[in-house]
Amino acid sequence: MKNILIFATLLIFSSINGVSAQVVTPSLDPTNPVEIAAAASWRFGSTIGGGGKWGTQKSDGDQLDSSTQSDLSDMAFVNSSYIFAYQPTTVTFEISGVVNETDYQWDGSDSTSDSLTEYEKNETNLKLAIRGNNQVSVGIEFQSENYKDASTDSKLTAYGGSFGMRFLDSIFISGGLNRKTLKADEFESDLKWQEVIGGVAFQFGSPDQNMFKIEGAIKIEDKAKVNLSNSALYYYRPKITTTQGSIETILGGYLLSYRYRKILFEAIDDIALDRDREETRNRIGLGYRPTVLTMVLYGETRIEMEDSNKYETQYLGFNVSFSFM
Amino acid sequence: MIHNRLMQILLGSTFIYSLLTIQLFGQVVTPSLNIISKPIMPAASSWSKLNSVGGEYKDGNGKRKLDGNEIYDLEVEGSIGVVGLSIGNLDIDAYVDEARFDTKYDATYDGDFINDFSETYVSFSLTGDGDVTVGAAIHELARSVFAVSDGDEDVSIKQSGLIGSFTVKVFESVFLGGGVERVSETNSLSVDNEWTNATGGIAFWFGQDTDSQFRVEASVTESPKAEKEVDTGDTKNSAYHPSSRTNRINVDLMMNGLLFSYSNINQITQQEITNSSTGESVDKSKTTINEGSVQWVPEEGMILGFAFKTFGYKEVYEDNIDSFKINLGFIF
Repeated sequence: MKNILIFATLLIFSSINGVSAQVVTPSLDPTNPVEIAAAASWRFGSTIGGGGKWGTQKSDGDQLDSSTQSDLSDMAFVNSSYIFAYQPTTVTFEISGVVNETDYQWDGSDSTSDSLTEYEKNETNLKLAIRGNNQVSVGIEFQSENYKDASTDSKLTAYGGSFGMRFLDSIFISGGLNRKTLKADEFESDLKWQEVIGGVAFQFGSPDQNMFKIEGAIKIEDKAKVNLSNSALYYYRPKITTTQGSIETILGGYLLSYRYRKILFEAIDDIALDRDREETRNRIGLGYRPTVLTMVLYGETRIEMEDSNKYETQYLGFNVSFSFM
Repeated sequence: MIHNRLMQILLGSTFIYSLLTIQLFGQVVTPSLNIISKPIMPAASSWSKLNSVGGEYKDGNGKRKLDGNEIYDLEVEGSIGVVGLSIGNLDIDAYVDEARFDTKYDATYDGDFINDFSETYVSFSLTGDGDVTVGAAIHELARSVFAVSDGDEDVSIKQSGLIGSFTVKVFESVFLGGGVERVSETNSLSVDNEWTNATGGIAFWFGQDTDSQFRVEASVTESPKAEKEVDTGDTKNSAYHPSSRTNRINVDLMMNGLLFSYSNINQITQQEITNSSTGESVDKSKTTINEGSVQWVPEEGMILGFAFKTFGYKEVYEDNIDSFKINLGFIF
């Protein structure tokens, strides 16, 4: 059972720290990587940049439902990220990643058993997309993510394909499939699952003038399970459905953005008493984007609900990039 | 003396695993708009005058179920390389396909599974007066199958095929075609065998040579039963190839160079199989495959795409494998 809990933590954090998730067209903040490769075709030129993010979570009595008073965890979290997107012609290449993401968790049901748990994660995303007739886009992508803590050393790899279409200059749709594989010593064999993504966006204007974008998207990840080594136990990965919407605008060189995301972790049928869990995230961004330089500050709140328990995490982040049309 | 049960197990593998790796974009009468797709009948290639080269990586996994229980984890990984050249009215096509399978199990049950697979194909086709094409091809298949029996063993199976085919453009957008493949099989357990497959099809293709096209092709392949008895002094078993019928349908829709393809294939093989693990029997096996793909196809330049495929095979046991592919190529 211990292993099950360890890996559940691993995968949840993979989701928490996901990229900025632009599914249909790129964010107006060019430092944010696209989530599916086909969206990269709609970038406005090349970009190089990076950012940082830190957050804190406290799950004390103030943030738990009054019926559950036990301390579950306190957490501090930090990472840095980079992006390089190159768009010489109709082909776009994008490499992005997270470097040395570290998380400190104080975990224990009482003060005598509290312990410090630390993990490190590095993530690399490669995307290649091609745009045709300025109306269609196809992309392929590869992702590698290493995760390590005191008891676990695992590697997630994923590859996939996606497409996008543009109508009436301002309407974009996209869809994609990803195939993911998680390798870990604790698993008897690799854990594999599929992910389907789709979305629609409306986008007007140009980033060097005024611009407005609104996007809605959904991502569905299959449930999966694998035997644990030398054990009759299974590791279960729940079905995860992510819905999200974002609004961004550039007005007079200032960038404003808001993103809402809801993630539903469905209960696993094989586990008695397992229940759905839900996570909602709200992020606002305020930045400055003149012609080449873009600087954006982000504030984000994440609320996780499990039965009547509520966990709240606050994040702060910043992005800086240089763009070349 | 090799026991009959082992040979019975191997009957299905001849077809099953070639279907597991085949691409399904229906190139019997007309060429698939998916450039990375493997041709089936050579004469179809002449209706395309593109020069292209491409490759594909594929990865899949699934389960085998027997009597309601999941008994094996099935994994497959492989790659394909495809070349198509058009020189005047001569078209040359070739591909190499290879796949490695990994079957994980705690205990073995009656029923074979494949270890690896490789396939090569070279074809030449000619365009006649603009309404007729003819073609010939050499087709080689090789695979290693692990046969579960009293003396579990790897079995090597090789097939060599010679293919001849023709197509006719009946109206501006309607095509008919057919062909035969003479197959010679060698098997490390049985004597050599041979038979002839016959294939026919019809296609509707609109918008040729533009960046917005629509194509539908349906085809059927009949493979007859073929038996070879052992001669006196043979140390191998008799050979038996079961009869089968394969139906395919393929739809291509290209809009502004963005290609969406869907294909379905169904194969029924007439074969008596009794599974010693359960005691159950069937008199035929069924294979069902669905594949969808998206690809960017320019007039010239880089091709980029991906595909998703589901494979199902059912006799006494049932295999289901989902796989995903990404492909990259170039039209010049």
